[in-house]
Amino acid sequence: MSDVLLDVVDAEFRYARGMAPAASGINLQVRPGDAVGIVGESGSGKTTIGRGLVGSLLPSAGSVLVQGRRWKSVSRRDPVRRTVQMVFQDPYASLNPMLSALATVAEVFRVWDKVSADVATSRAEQVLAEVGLSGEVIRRRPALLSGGQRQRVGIARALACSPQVLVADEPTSALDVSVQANVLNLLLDLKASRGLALVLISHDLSVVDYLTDRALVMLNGEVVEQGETQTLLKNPGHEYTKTLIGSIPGTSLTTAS
Amino acid sequence: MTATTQTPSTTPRRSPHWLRLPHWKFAQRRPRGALALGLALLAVIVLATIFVPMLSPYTATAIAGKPLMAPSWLHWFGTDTAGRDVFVRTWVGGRNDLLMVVLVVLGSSIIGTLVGVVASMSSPLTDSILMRFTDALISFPGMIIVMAIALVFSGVGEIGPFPRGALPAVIAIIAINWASYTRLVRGEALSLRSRDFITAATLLGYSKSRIIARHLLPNLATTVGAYMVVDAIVAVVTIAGMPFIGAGIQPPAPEWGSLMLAGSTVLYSAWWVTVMPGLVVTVYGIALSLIADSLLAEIDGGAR
Repeated sequence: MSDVLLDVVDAEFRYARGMAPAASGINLQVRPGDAVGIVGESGSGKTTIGRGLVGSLLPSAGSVLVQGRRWKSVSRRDPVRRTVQMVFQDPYASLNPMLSALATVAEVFRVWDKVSADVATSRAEQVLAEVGLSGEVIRRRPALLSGGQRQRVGIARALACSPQVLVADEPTSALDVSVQANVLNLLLDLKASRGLALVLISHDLSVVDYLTDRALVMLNGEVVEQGETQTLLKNPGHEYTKTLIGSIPGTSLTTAS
Repeated sequence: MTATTQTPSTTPRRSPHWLRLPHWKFAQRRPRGALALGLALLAVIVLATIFVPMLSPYTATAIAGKPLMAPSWLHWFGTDTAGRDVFVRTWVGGRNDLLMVVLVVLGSSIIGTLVGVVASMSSPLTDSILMRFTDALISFPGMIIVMAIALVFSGVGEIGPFPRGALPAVIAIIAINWASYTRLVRGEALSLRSRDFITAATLLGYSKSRIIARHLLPNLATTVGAYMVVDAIVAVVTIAGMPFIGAGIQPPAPEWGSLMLAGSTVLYSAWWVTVMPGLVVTVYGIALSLIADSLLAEIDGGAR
């Protein structure tokens, strides 16, 4: 059996029939332990690919296979669904305002593991502790949590499903700079401790550089360049990649080249 | 893409414009104070509807004195054209009205919310069918449907605490009133569905029923609750208006609308027969509008 967790083959994504594709010609394989970055400006199709990877947007052409199966054939309760989970960009909108952090994470165990409320709560406490949340704070609703704490709850909710791939869509863009590093380090730690594969969607090349081994550079819905992150940064082949590198504070196109 | 697909959740949620009442400035500035005052006024009315009929020496249907006696220590709200005590009739009538309002608001909100949530979570075809039916119901003159249904069920007699004519009126009003809840709830639910926490629930494989029960309904509760309070005002006006078209609670059982209607023929000579129950209805309306405004101020995030 192939060890490929996610296999995207010449995929094209459209939001509605008749509309221009939001992303096309996408090829990507994700294996256990991989760290892949998808980088590009707003509107380049990064989030569209992220939605395609987690199965919330089906390809209009080509295919997205999760553990060798098309998303369309994966039912709501199919264990394969647990393979890929998502961490969202906006920690304020990604949590149910009416549920505490503990209830949010415990619900995953209630649904997937069919355990009692006590067992689910106990497991949720463990996962929340893994992302650095414990004590009274986990009984608070999202409105009483900081942005960083909310993003940690979002990560814990995704982890509760025991995924093998975590798709993180701009996980730090809505956070204060001081909190961004904490969340990025948490993702790195979880990748190492759980053997997770990570797909990081970001407009920030320095974040992609910090977290990933491979990267795809997106422009106008197409991949203009892909390869090892370090190679891309040191020897960018496409003009747009050079522009992105030049936009990193403290660098210039000359040094990047 | 990423930056443009999200609506910042920090933006205060604005309640739908048609949910707004003429605002009480006081309620906007001090929503909790307005809520307390509104609840206190409502409590006085509810308690009076319970205890006045129990404690009064008069009954609602018995003759208590001469016809059209002015308000006095003996008859606080005077007597009507038949010599019945208007004070006790006002509170017995209020009890009938409030029981009907509770049924109307609960029935309409439950049916309307369920249909609205189901429409928002259904396929475009099902959603379209449900909403076109809802639109048709809203656009049809409501009073005609109410009259027709009330007349069809006019044979229904007294049931439990409800006098003759009360339950047909309740059924008739619910039959048209749920549609406004459906419109409100579907719009709110569609807005919630686009939020990431609903996407996350879908990705986690939660069932539709779980998403509705745990994620949609609790987040709709405040909006629906505020609308229920607004609707309680509209409902009492509708119920009080029914005697004017020959529907609703049948005499001699009292009801706010029929009390005012009975006094309209002697308005200039015996104003109290109409004005006293009217004042109680006004206080009821003020109480509920204070409560509704304070809830709306909460929905708006206290931004105003």
